[in-house]
Amino acid sequence: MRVVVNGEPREAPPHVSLLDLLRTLDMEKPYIAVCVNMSCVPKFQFESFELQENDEIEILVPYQGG
Amino acid sequence: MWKIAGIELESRLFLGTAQYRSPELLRQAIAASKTQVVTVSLRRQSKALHGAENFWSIIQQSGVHILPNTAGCRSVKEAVSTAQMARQVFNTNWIKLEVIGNEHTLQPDPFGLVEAARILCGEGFSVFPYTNDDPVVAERLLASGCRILMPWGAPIGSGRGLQNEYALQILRDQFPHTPLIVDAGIGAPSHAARAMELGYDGVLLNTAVARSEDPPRMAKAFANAVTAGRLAFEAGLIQAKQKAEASTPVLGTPFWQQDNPGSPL
Repeated sequence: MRVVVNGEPREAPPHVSLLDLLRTLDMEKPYIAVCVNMSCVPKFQFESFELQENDEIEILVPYQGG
Repeated sequence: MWKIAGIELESRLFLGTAQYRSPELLRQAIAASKTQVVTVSLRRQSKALHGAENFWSIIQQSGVHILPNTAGCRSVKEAVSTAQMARQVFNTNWIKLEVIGNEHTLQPDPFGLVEAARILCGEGFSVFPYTNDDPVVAERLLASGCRILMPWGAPIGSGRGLQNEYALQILRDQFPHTPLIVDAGIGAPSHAARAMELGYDGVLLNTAVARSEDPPRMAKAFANAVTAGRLAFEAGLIQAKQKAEASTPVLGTPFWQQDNPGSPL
């Protein structure tokens, strides 16, 4: 199925969990935050959160800020 | 020592972490500033984001409190989502709330800011709102649950200093028990000192240190200026006068000045 990760379209297996997607992308880090369709997903839900077709996923990391 | 959002601090200087020419200069500037609070952002994980892991390592090693921001957000929804994500990553309820309303000046959207503040305060955040110097907006932010206000001195990154001291003084007078921090527009240590002389509780700045020729040295200059300004406020500044007044006593003036006893030495 098609999902969008940080603005880029990607193919993912149907009903893949958020945790598995992060592992596939090598983005499973302790300091990331994820939101799906503009809603924040708590870390403890990564494993049980099932992605759907056309979900838009944002994966954010700490960075410089003023 | 002073207290803000439940934490006791010695330093009244908050430092931004962007625009340094190298991670090492950032590390040195944090140390030289003696700041205990730094601002950070959240950005998309990507290969184009150079040094994100190294950056986070430096911040963690510095041992300072983290004040995440919602920089770049232009809607309530974006700002609220970013704050919620920041709480997960940084394990803090603190959030520097920015809802930008004008691309040219980067000034806050007061309507979106108040609405986002209301939502986030309701979710238990300690909201540090980046706001303008309008006391009406300040009142609405406080009514929304904010306990801190961060009015701008000038547009972000402009380095123009306090553009409306009159308005900043009104905010100080009108909200004597609310922690006030000047955020944005500070360009020189004298600007920071002036904000502190007005009775502000702290100063948040970034570009003036990061883009200086010697960031660690400039960070030290700002630390000293903030301390000096706060001491001056606590000591009580004299009122400015329209005419001169001799500082040396006129009593006992020597005979050769008797013709003009009021002349200062």
